[in-house]
Amino acid sequence: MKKKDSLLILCAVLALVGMLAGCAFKDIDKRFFVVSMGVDKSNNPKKPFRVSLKLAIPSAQVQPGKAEFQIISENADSIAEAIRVMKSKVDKDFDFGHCRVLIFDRHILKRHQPEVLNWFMRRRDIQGISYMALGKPTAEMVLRVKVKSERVAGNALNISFDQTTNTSPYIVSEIMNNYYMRLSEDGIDPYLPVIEPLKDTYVINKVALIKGEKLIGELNKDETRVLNELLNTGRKGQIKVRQGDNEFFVNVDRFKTKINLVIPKRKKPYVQVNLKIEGPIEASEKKLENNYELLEDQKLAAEVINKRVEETLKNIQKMGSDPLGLGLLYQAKQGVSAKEVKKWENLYQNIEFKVKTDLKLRGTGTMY
Amino acid sequence: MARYFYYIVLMNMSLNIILNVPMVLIQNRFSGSITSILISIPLGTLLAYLFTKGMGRFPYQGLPEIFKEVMPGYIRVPFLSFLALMWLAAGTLAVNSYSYVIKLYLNPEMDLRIISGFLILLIIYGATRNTQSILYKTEITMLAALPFIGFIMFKSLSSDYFYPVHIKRILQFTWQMPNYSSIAAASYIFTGYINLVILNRNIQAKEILKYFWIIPLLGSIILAITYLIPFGFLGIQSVGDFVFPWMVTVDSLRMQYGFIERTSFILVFVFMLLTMLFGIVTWNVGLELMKGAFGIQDRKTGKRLFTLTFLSIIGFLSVYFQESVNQREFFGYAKYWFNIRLPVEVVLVMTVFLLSLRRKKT
Repeated sequence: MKKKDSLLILCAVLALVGMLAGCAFKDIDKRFFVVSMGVDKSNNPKKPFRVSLKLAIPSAQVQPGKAEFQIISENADSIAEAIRVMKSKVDKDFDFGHCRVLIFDRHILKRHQPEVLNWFMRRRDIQGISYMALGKPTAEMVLRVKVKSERVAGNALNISFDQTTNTSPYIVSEIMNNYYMRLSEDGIDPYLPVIEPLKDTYVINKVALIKGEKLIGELNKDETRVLNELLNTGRKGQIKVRQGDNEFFVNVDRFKTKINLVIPKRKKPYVQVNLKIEGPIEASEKKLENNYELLEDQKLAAEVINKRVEETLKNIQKMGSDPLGLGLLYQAKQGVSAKEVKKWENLYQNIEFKVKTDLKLRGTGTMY
Repeated sequence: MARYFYYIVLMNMSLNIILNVPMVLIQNRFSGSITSILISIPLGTLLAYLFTKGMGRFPYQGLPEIFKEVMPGYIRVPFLSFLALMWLAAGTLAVNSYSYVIKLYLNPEMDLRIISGFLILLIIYGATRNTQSILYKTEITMLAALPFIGFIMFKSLSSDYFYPVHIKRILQFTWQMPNYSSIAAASYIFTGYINLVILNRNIQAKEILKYFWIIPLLGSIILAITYLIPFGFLGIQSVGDFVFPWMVTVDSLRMQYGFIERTSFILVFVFMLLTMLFGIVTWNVGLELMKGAFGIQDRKTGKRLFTLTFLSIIGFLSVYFQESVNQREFFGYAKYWFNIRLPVEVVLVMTVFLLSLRRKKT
């Protein structure tokens, strides 16, 4: 009886194994993998969305520079419509499971931002951890770049935004879920890295700021670096200090930012930014023989950082955007209501920033 | 044996991280969810304590046996059958909610009826097993799932995209009047103990009371996590835009060094394990209650006719129910079920507790 039972179960299991169709009834060779997606504004006012897909063409050889891809574009009055029309342009079905980079152009973000984002958020197969970026001049041109070192089509951008691979302090990366939160919350504003195509590669060293739902401007390279430091992203850079003929570089090992909103009684509120930096000197023209010289340099570097951060904060404030979420800090203290939000908006325009840097030079490398 | 009881309690707590509890709480986030949670912690603990204490006086007896001694048939049979249906509905709601998750994230091209049908087939197979074997399965599943749950918790608390300031903001809405459906949903976290109605045949309730402090402790931690972490990722406004806030929350996490990058698939896998287990346990308890109500002893005779027909009918009704309502209506019904569950639970606990007092006197 026991043996008969187990035999029966074995048969049942074997029968069920046949139903495991792996790729949900559609084999992998019948799918087209979309690796990145771009949305531009077209010239046709009736069909404002120009959607471009970068489709990876699988090949047996995985070699740098041999990654083949195909770009198809379509104008339509919505993204969903564009995708549907594009399906008739290719032989296989689209699979968005590997779509890791979403690129937009400036004009579409100025007008149709919530609409665009809604499609991406609603699709279950677009990952919440997809990187978002602004393509300059257009998203399609960014997609069309064929990167020489790329082993898998579309992977270069993905790798540049990945903090474990590329630690450049000029690259600010942003994922879709975080962007959506920033867009819909009062008191924090979204930002997007800007990608500009070069001949065989890209340059990503600026960040575009957004206020409410509108794109308002870009930060330059140095300000982008400061923003990265203020956001605590773990991308560490260098500090260049020059005063008179004393010029040296500090290589940052640790960078920690704490931002507090202080609301004293009967006084104007201010923003207290505390930075904690550690690292050795990487290059110095002067020989640092004595400890007091090192301490002097340390003080100097802290002042430089203070100034750098304060200027950037003021510039961001002037643009009116709030990527650091200072408004959230205010709401956490004063309560969340439309009245408080409005009060904060007035307050933010001329709030004072107090930056304090605790910088420690850990050493001078292999030389004095 | 007491540990099996805590596995069941823990299963109930962790399963509800994803299913319907956060949905209700997040809907009421501006109107008294936090006070409701604060009320539900002592309420849930008290009910659990009274019930465990009460069942401790009836060693190795299930609810049908206890009722048989003291109640006339015309009260006992409807009451037990009603309870059985409540349990079966709990399993159905969990499995059906989970099939929505599968449909959304794993198998969008598959028919919803097929997904929930297969899940229910598996659950029928599991639920007709012996209660003791189900307890063993509980242990295996929980030990397999807990590391993953811990990993996801750790990942989310240490993520760059977790903003504690949103949690501070939602705590601004603490002092609001509590509302009934939030209390009903939040106290559901603690409800794992109620499966003791049947499991008391295998577990000695007296041993459980030694470690009873685990329940309020774990319950409060899990409730806080369940409710607060989605805010940290999605903000207090946009968290209301999502059907499964936890799926989207976990989708913000990335495993740089993992085989797969998207953490949400791990969550789907863990909840596959937990939902199957939950379905099996609740349906087994429901089935045993039903059998107890009508005095069917099929374990001795070896004839499983009643069991199989009954569960097939329930299974068919579950699939039919999901087929006939849309997702929004389905969640509406889940909410009704929460609202009915709390008074039923209170009545059941009080009955058992009073019966146990009477037993002490005589």
